[in-house]
Formats: sequence, C-alpha cells, structure tokens
Amino acid sequence: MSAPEIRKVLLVDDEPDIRRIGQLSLERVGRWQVVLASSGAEALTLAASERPDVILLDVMMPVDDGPTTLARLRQQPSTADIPVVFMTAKVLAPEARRWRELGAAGTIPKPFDPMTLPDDIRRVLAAAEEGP
Amino acid sequence: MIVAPPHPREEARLHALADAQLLDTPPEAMFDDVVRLASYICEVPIALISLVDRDRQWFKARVGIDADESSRDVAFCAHAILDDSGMMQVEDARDDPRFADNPFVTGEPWVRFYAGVPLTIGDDDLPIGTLCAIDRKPRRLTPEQTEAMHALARQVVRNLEIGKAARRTVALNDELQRAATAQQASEARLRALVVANPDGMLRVARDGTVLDRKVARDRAIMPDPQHMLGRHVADCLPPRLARLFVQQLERTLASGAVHTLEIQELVDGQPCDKELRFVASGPDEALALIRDVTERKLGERAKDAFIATVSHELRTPVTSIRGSLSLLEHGMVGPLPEEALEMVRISRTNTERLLLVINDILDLEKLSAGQLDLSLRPVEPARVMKTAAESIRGMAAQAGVEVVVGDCAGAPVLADEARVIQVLNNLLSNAIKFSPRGARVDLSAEPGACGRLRLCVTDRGPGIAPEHHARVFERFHQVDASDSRERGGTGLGLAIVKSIVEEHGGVVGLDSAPGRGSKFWFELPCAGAAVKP
Repeated sequence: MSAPEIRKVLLVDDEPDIRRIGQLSLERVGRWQVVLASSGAEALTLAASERPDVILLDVMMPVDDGPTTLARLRQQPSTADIPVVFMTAKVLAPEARRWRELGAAGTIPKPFDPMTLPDDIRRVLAAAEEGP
Repeated sequence: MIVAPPHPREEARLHALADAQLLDTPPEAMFDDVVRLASYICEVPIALISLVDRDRQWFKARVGIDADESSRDVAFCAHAILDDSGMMQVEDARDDPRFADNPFVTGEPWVRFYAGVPLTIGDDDLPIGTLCAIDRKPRRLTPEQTEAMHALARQVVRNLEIGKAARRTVALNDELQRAATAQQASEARLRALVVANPDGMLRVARDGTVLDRKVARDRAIMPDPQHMLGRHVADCLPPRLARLFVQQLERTLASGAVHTLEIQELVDGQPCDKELRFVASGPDEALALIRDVTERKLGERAKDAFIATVSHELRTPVTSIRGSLSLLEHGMVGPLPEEALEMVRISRTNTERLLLVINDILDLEKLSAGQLDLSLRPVEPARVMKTAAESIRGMAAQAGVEVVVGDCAGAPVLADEARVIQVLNNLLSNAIKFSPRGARVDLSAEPGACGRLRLCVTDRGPGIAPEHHARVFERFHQVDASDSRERGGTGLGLAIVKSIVEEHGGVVGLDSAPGRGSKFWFELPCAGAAVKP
C-alpha cells in the first residue's frame, strides 16, 4: 500500500529562515502547496482550516513544543488523522521512540537538505504506512 | 723431608674448613676432653685436634705441647689428610723419608710415633684436619686403641655437624625475626595508607565472598557494612552494582590488570556517583577501591549539557545556511553566473564540513553521557561488512580506491548494528582518505581475544609511526596537522570509534608502521559469549 498523494503541507517552525527555506523546498522541489505556521497554537488553527495532507512539525519551539502540539492535534477530531512528521536538531533514540508512540509518523533530522526534503517526507510516510 | 702436596680438592676443602667456623676460636671443653681421652687411651704424651689451613696447621685442642700452630710444610697432619685408608700411622719417623729430617723429629718435641685420623665433614667427606696421637718413642697402636681413635674422631665430626646445624638454626631464627619485623613495619605502613585514604575498600574472594571492608564517609553502596564479612556481594550490595561488581571481579582476576567501574546510585533520593577500581590482591581475591566522584560527575554533566546546547544552537543556523546554499546551487531561485555558482559551491561544501564537526561532537557528547542507548542484538558480521562497504562505495570510487570485503565465517556478535556500521564507515573513510589512487582497502574478520570477533580495515597508505599509535584514538588528534585540511575530517572519527566499541565492551587497536600501511581493528563480544550489564 503506497502513501496517500500529497498536495498540501503545513510547515511549523518558530525560525522564520527555516520556514522560508522549507517553503521554497516544498514548493519548488516537491511542487506542493505550502502553509506556514510559526507556533503550535497557529498550527492547530491552520491544520483545522487548511486540512493539509501532512504536517511538518519542529520539535523545539517556545510555548507549545512539537510533542505538545502533536497531542493537541490528536485530540481535535478534524486534525486527529493528519500524519505528522517531526523535524529536530537533536535526535536521541529514546526520544524518537517516544514521539512515535505519541503518533508521529517519523522524524527528519536537522539540518535537512532542501533538495531532498520532499523525498525524505515521502519516505518517512511510506515507512509509517508499512508498519510500526 | 718431603712436603705434603695440596689435597686434590684443596679449595673445596679450605671452603669446608672455613664453613666449620673453628679456626682461631677459643678452646672448648668437649674438644679438650677428646684429646685428653685420646692421650689416655693410646698412652701417648701428645694428642691434638689439628686443623690444616692453607699455610699452617692450627690446634683446636691440644695436650702435651704449648704451641697453637705450626707451618703446614712441617705438619705430619698435612700428610695424614691425604691418606684415604682412614688412619695414617708412622711407627718411627726416623725411618720414614717424609719425616726423617723434620725439625719436629730432629728437635722438640722429638716425634717418633704418629697416628692421625682425618676429620672428614660434609657430603663430600672433605678432610679439614686430624685427630692425632704422638709419642716420643717408636711404637704401634693396638687394635682397640685404633678403634678408639676412630670413635673419638667420629665424635669430633658429629660435634662439628651439630654446631653447624645450631648456627644455621640461629641464623634462620634471626632471619625470621628480621622478616617478622619488616612484615610488621610493612603492615603498619599499609594500615596507615588504608586509614589515610578517603576511599572505601572491599576485599573480595573469587567466588564473591567479602573478605574485608572499609567504609568511606557515606553509605551509598554499603548500606550495612557491619554484616558484610563472609557474605556474598550479591547479598550486601545494591542488585545492579552487585552484578557489575562480579563481572569486573572476574575480568580483573582473568586479566591481572586494573579495571574501573563507574556507577550512579540514588542515596536519599540524590544521585551519587561512585568509581570502583579493581585490582587483584592475590590469585583468588581482588581489592575494590571505592571513590565518591559525584562532584566530578556533576561538572562533567554540566560540561556535556553545555556542549549539547552549543551543538543545537549551531545546527539551527547551519540548517538555514546550508539550505539556502543548496537551493541557490540547484537553481531553485533562479540561475546564477558561473563564478557566483562556484562561490556558492565553496560555501556549501564548507558548511558540510562544519556540520561534520558538529555531528561528531554531538555523537561524542552522547557517548560520554552514556546516552548512546545501544540496541544490542546478534549481528551477522558478514552483513554489516557488506553494508558498510556498499555505503562507502561512492567515496571510494571518487578516490580511485577499491574496497574489498574478505571472507567472514565468524559467529554473530552482540552489537548495535547501526553503530557497528558507523564504526566501519569511520574506519573505511579514513582508510580511503589515506590510500593512494589505485590502491585497495581490505575489510576482513578474524577471531579475536577472549572469544571476541575482530573486524579489520587494512589500507596501503603512508602508515603511522609507533609513537602516534596510542594517541590516534584521542579527540582532535591528527598525526599531521595538515591532514584535516588536505583530507577532510574532524579528528573525532577515531575517538568516536573507540567510544562506541568500548560501550559495546570491546577493544580497538592499530597495527601500523611508516611505509607499511595501517590495519585498524576492533573486537566485539560474540553473541553466544557476551552478557551485557
């Protein structure tokens, strides 16, 4: 079973530079429609209104961090089923395991390569589809 | 007159004489009695116990003459000690060419008759002198008198032997006393050392029984020190520590080397770090010195946290820089003039290099913080070797180096597969970097020490001088300072290799010499043999 077709991505990161680079990558390399959010709260609103096919969520953000935002997304019926991929500059194996248990599809390490970011997202989603 | 030749074993004989410790000693009643008895029994005016020294004869006991000694040249006894019939008898010295013109015959004491029994001592029966009877008129000894002379001579010899044994006993006793005194002094020094040392101490037998203990200020790991003696460590130490303790004990006794164990225990809810140093204190026992290192560890952890934060703060801007450059380089934001593109490429490749350093520092930070979280499973060595070689093929092709994977019939190792591949990748990329174009790099496996499997990466590069061998595994150590610039790399790769391998309970090593290439190897415990704490 292949991953569902991606048309729209919600990118959540508190760093404006990274939002901009991610946007360019997803738009120009992935040819996806991109919605940007700069905080967990904004992500909750946009996820509900925009219904993206996947959410790319930074882990370390002020106020609500990535895992907290994920838990909120899961509680909201309209966003509960949207796949979430974490992005982080600090990957430790035990943490990555915990995030998967929270319902994340997977993790993409920072720094990501904008030329391969869309493929990386597809690969993470496909692996999550295949099984735990 | 004929002077007696030296004894055939003269030096050994003189040695035996010196060993008897009789020469020039005061008179002793026992020997005086013997010569008196000899004189009575043989009915002669003169009887002597004469010791034949290098140039003289000296009388240990005498009756009938006043002199203590005489020259050996004129001594009858010098001839008597050469006689192997048991007794030399001269009936009338005037008729014997050896003695006819001897001054003791032609003058005082006018010797005519002489009978001497050699006094032979030791296992070699060396004659050190004689018991002799002398008369001023010619005669013979009766068979009874001859027998009595032999009996008296035996008494003298037996007495000498008893004296020698007694002296040996006294010497031995002195030596024992000296040793006992030295031992007492040494024990006192040792006690002072133990008391002065703030560390706790456990002396444990091979089977884990506590033989002795000294408790340091805290009771972190010895909660009930009063009741430890004679008990197994598993019954008196916290369970995890007891398990590790027994492991280190076995390692220490097997290798004879000092082994160190670091452990954290909770004491009243506070983390408490201990360092245990194991050293063999006998063939079947070891000493564990227990030191509190909580403060040191707090410092190390603060440093590690600092490094982690710095690394994270570095990665975030690098993500933006590298991302922008990559988009620019690939024309995602419009075409660039050729020279601008070249500058972008230079910036991008240098960002990659910066990133490598940051990643390596993060890896080392995780390793030193014990956060590596190894997932240990039986790993087929042949598979990881193939995977590692495959993943580095691009780099090898670029450098014109061939990576050859050798046969591997080795048993599975107990390891974290991804980490083993990381180790192999590090070693392979080093080997490739230092190989001349067209050379080959071999990846092979062979049996290692202590039931481990050894994985080897062999190159035909410039090789490494022995003085650098110990240091190549240190952080940021480069054999040649220009290496990092010319060949890329952070100087952290081998430090990471060492940390990962040691985290697995393995060892790393290097065989290399200038001009003969390098063989880097590491050993991992086999899946069947290893038990991970």
